[in-house]
Amino acid sequence: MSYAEAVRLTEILLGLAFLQQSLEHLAGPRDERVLHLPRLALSAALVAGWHSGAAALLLLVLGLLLLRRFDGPYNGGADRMGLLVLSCLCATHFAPTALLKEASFGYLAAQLVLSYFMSGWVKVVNPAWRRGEALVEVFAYSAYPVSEGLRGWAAHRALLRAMGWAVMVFELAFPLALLNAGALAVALVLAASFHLANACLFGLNRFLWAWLAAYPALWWCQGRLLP
Amino acid sequence: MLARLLPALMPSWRFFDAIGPAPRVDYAWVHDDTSPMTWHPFRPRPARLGVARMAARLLWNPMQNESLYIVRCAERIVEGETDFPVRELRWRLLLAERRAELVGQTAPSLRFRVRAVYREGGELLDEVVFVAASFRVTPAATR
Repeated sequence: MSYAEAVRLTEILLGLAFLQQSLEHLAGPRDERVLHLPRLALSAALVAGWHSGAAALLLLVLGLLLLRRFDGPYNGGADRMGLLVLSCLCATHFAPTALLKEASFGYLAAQLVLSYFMSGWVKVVNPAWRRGEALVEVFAYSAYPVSEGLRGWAAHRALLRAMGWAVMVFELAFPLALLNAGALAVALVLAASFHLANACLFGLNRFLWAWLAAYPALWWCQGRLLP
Repeated sequence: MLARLLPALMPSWRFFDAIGPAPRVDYAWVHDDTSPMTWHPFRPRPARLGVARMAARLLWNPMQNESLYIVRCAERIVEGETDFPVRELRWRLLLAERRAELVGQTAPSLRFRVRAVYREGGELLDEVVFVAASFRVTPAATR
């Protein structure tokens, strides 16, 4: 995938992710609608590729206003990933040299790899994760499961221990996928499936779309570094 | 403003590194701060959620996303912050009242409390960590 194609695909995926988010706020209170209505229009422009540089820059301004409105991100890591992708997209449009433009897109790819590796690292150094207790606690009493019925999963300790280790091994091994395009394709499919499971079980749907928007940068970067 | 953007530009990516106290928010209709209270859970989870509903929520999930935001506000209260998160939870309760989400109004004012659920010594504990002052619910307040 060429640099131009990867940037364009990122614009489309991020625009769709923002459209999904902003549509959810249209039924909300007036102060949220005031920020999300222009965000909808700008996201549509980003998807259509209509003055996408200006649209990305204005979306970044709106992103800052949303951070002020909610005194931080409304949706934690998903909002942060969205802003990271957006900031890197702005740099691909406005950085003064081609090298800086590519470097900023490469930075997004590096952060995507770190997002998996660091998540695996902070888990594996925690004894509760290694013993399989952490995932049991997530289902037993955390605020995340989307239904009370899912709390019953906490009783399946052996299964959750295996799932916890599978997640940690995958996250820690993710950087190795950069060595080969085929391995990266498999890793990205597995990673997207992981986000899909989190969306279904914990209601974290915005994470799925925000992370997908960063995938083209990594796909391009792998080809750039190991052609 | 830029300080708020910095964690997005250089994230720590420490997802689920430790399972801390999980907050719950309850509300009660009251006459004043001294009246007896019957607490109701704010945004209780459904008992079950079918596969079709889960799939639909991939694209349309405003209530759960607002619930996650409410949880974050409650976490900030558990961490000792009381200015913005308290104001925001009052606002979310007023919006919920406007959307007829709360149990029927039995008194002119609302109060809310935050409980922390956590594991200690193998036992699951449930502790009230914050009780907000009551606030009046008028049609104008929810506009």
